[in-house]
Amino acid sequence: MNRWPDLLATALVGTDRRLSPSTVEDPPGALLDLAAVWSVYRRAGVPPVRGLPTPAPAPADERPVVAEPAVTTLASLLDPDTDQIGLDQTTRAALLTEWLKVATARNLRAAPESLPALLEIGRRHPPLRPLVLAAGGARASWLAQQNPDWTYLTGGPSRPDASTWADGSPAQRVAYLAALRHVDPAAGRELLDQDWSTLDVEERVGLVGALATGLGSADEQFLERVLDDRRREVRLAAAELLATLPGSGYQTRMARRASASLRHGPDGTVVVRPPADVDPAMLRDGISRKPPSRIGERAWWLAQVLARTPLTVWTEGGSEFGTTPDGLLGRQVTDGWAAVVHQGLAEAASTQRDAGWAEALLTTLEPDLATRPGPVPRWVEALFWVLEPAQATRRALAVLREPSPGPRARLLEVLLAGCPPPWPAEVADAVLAGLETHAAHPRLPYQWSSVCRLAALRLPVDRAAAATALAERIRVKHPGQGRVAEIDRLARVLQLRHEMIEEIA
Amino acid sequence: MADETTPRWSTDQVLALAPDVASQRAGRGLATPTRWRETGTDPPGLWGRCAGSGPTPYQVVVELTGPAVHCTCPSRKTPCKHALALLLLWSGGQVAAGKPPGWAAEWLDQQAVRGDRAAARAAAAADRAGEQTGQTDDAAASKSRQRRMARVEAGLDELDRWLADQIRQGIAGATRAGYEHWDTMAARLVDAQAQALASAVRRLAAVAADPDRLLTELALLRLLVDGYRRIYQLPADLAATVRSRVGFPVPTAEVLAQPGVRDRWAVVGVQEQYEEWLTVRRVWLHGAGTGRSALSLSFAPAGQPLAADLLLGTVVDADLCFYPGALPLRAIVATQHSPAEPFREPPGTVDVATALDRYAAAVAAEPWLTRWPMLLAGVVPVADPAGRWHVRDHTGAGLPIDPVISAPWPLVAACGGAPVSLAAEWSPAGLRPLTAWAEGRLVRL
Repeated sequence: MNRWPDLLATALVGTDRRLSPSTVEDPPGALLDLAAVWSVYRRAGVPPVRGLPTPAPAPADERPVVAEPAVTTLASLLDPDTDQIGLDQTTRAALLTEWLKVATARNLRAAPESLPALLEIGRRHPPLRPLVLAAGGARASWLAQQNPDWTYLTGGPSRPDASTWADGSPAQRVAYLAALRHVDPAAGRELLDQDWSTLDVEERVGLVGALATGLGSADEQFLERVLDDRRREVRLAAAELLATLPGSGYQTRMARRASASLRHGPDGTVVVRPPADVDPAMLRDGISRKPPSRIGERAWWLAQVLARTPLTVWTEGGSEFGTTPDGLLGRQVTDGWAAVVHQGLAEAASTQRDAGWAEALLTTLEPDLATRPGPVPRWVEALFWVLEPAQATRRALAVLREPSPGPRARLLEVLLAGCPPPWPAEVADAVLAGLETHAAHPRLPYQWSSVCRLAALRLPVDRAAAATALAERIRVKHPGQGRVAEIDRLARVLQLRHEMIEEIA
Repeated sequence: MADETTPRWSTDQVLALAPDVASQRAGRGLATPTRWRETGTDPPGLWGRCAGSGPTPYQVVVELTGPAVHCTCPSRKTPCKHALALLLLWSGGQVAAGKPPGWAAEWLDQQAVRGDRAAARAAAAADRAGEQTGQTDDAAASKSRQRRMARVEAGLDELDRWLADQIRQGIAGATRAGYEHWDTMAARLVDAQAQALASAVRRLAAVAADPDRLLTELALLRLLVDGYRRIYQLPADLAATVRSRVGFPVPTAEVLAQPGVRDRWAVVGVQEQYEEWLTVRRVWLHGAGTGRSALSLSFAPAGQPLAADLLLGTVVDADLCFYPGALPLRAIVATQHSPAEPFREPPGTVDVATALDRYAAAVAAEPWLTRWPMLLAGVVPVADPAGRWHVRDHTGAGLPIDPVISAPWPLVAACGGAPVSLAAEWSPAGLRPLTAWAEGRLVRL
């Protein structure tokens, strides 16, 4: 007979309050003594649990596990509480990405006990998910199916939860629409069309932007109707999408206006006839009438037209300017319109992400950029972001090889960001040499620390020894300067990457 | 103060001092002779100057018997990366013998004086946790012992009355009481020099919300008080357990005077925890021949590194001296006969039913036992239909995982659905996995 429940009940109430008089001399002591016996009995008498299911075994993964030191390194990369020479979040994420790529490339898999932490990182950072799956292998998929938090790994793009549309915040609804467009673009558009009249201006702008996912010619009709909206911001949002839709009426209209503005002139010049006025059709297409300060009206209208015109207009068959960007850019522009034309074309190149035009424009603007004082205008900087890696590399090398940092060095961070990792040998050597020559310079036109941080992650790891030696030389020559700490950090991170990669094999 | 018998350490021994992996790397990175000036060694002293990122080089001095470390760098880690680097250089034979320069000699001399004081401080820290170096003066020692016993008895009388009060008034109220309810009584026990009991009373606060558990703990406290009152009627072993649990420490010398148990001891589990301003390392050992379990405890003030002498996954031929008690578990490694070797599978693994039987026998011998090591053969983690995790052996018998671990994902991942050998700690709350041997690898959980 189990006395424990009685003992517990009495103890809860307290022996003073028991209604029946106690026959024992010392009620609390007696209760405790009995309770002690029963406690030990209960602890010692725990039976094994029965009726548990048998788990399904994981599928085999033939790949060997990475070496033991690499297991420890991965654990410390995944655990944000571990101190790692003061690594910040971005660096840690970059190193993790590199680790996963190298392990997968060498046909090795992550140790099974690392998988829970890896799957958690994949849940929080979607870009890492393919790498997590690759490094985790069959065991990771098997594990992921047992935890609802990790089903992202094995499920394909699933239909998002429809209740978000009804109950979610504006930001959640935009995300929902984008996710739905990923799975079923037509359904997404119809949903937006259906509820269009209930939305306010900001929501309309945000949700039209979400249509960028899965954009296709089937969307043209809807977007054209959005161009009739009263508010300019909404029209602009639709115009931005239509401008990227090949073969759309929008593109044809813009092309017509642009061709009318820039004509082939005598003596190989470009004659510019900017729009005389903004007609209702242009307003509808997202062109604004009022220019910002210091720009004339017609210049403003011309720039907008050019910015929204597909660049193929200037190079496809039937164009008067030939088949390459130089066909247009190589000619002289009349009456001082050159700056406006270049800016308009540059904005077109950056929105349309056209590397060929970006390269051609930068070459044309080169002489002007070299002499212009002050920072590089944003519309020029945007061109650097769309350059092809080969072009970005070439320009970066040119800047690095200048004997002392000149005005173009302002763009060093942008250019180096355009060279994807791992940097080829000549870029690596040029960067290290450039850092050495610039170390002495009192005032640099670029941020030393940004370049060092970028280099730390993108230099090939065989430069670890060279970087350490460089850091040593700079410390000796310029002791106690802030730059020494940054170059030290570069050397340490590079050394860390080197060891990390060596360990994996 | 030359000590020719200080042999040079191996790289692994130096790296074991590092507080974390980052310091190991940093130390290795600095261990190049070009960074160092004025290095020298005159055992047990070792010194050098290291160029750092600041304008003046850092001065590093090491005293090898401790080891004790001194460095002028601003790092708060002990030992810092500069000290590690200097030790690595010395270990690699790249430090020449010499006479310590002024700045190093001064510190080394201070260390000789500080050495005694530090030993006293460490003894005090260990004393709080139940270890104590022997006293030298017998008469004074016996007088202070008697004083102490009188204080403890008075404290226990108070505890007894307090326990009775809890039951008289009913523990329903106590389950909702704040921390002071327990802390006041604990403080009185500290005054009565019964530290271990004080800690036990403080721990009641953690289980107070569960009346079932609270009643159990109160009852076991009463059992301990009763035991202490009748200590002279108890068998010697049980008496030793009672004394220890009340808070009378056993001097290390007395433990080492016990006959050693020689066996091939496998290190099957290692756990580090922070308890009351100390880092505590629990190392679970299992004897391959005797089939006995042992627990080695080591302490360090929080933030300081622990000596890494017992490595997980190795087996060592050694003599262990057990602390006296009804159920000998805690032990000190007295003599090591051979270097540690790695092992593939732990010795002495059993199925769930056998493990529970052994736990029952252990609790019968020592009723206050809570944590007990288990070495389980061929178990696999599995969730029951309600989603609670267990481990299950080939007979279908299972043990629940301690709910404080909501889901043992690393163990689940390591097993991949296949049974493994598992070292774990069992307590009334459930099982806490420590180490698994899966697919030929050792997995620390």
